Amino acid sequence: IPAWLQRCRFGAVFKTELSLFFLVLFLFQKVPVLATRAFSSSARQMKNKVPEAQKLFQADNGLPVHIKGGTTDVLMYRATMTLTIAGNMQTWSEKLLW
Amino acid sequence: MAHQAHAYHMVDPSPWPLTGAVAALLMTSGLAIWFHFHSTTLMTLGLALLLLTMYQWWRDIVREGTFQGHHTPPVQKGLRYGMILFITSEVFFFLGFFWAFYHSSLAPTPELGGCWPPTGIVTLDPFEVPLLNTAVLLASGVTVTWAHHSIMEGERKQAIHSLTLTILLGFYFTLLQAMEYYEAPFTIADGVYGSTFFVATGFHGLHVIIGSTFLAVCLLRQVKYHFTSDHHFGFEAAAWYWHFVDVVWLFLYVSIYWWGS
Repeated sequence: IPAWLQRCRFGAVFKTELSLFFLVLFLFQKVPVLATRAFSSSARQMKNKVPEAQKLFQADNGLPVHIKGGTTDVLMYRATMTLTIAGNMQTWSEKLLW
Repeated sequence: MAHQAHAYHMVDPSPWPLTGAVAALLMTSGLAIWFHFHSTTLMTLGLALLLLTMYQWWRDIVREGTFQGHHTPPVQKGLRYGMILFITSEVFFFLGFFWAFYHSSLAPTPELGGCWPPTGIVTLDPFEVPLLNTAVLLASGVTVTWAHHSIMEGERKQAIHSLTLTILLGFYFTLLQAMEYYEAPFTIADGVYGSTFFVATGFHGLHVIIGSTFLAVCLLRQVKYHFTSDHHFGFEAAAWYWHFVDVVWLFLYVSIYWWGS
């Protein structure tokens, strides 16, 4: 059984390593895609969406900047906080939980 | 709605300093767990948390500056000071490794054969790949300056081209260096020569990767119209960092590759 499959069980390994993989993939896929679009003269030109973003983030709704973008912000914040608390519990526990 | 009567930035409460600190805790204790109990889970969790923290924290800074207008001239001045101080601290970091190298190489011990390079060490030819690497980084210094002038002059397409070229040169350097590492006739375990060589060049390589990533983020932001011709500090910070990486390489090349061979 290959090593990577041996470690694939439900729990922290699944969550952390898979999430890490997707995060890296997400971060690195965007750049070449957008750069390619910016280079090609035949494709529709990239539109300037800064004014829309300015309107969204200057809305007077009392939200702090880290969740002011919407649902994705909240989900990412919750995922981050979950890892923070879970990881902290693991570090300070007497016994390895996983 | 309250408006501030000053030009400074009072930041919103943020969870990222806490998550970042916990990430550091998890990575370090995870390292210890890996060494003693052969489990990489905690360390991986810490790494994931670090990446999430970095992404969200820097995303928030882009929002605060570009979308909310908080980066007024006094605030930008503070950011400039901050980046300069950070790069200065990195200079001292590398200075330590150069100190170690010169300490061992200027007075080689009898155990090494009383000479530098030590007996038995086959060094890399400084006029082959290392020289190419030097040319690559110097060229990237030119392209990043070209990118800066393009941004200042409002030349969007040229800025994108030159910034992309800079990043590609950075990747080329990393690729060449990785190949050199693979083909090297000595390892990190080969006495003090191996230690000083791989620790100094290794940390430099890491900084090239960090710098390339920073520039890539700037490219993304340039494509998305974040930079204006007179306000583009994120790019300037990335360019300063890149020049610093280039200068460190020049010192490495002259000291370790050339004089040390």
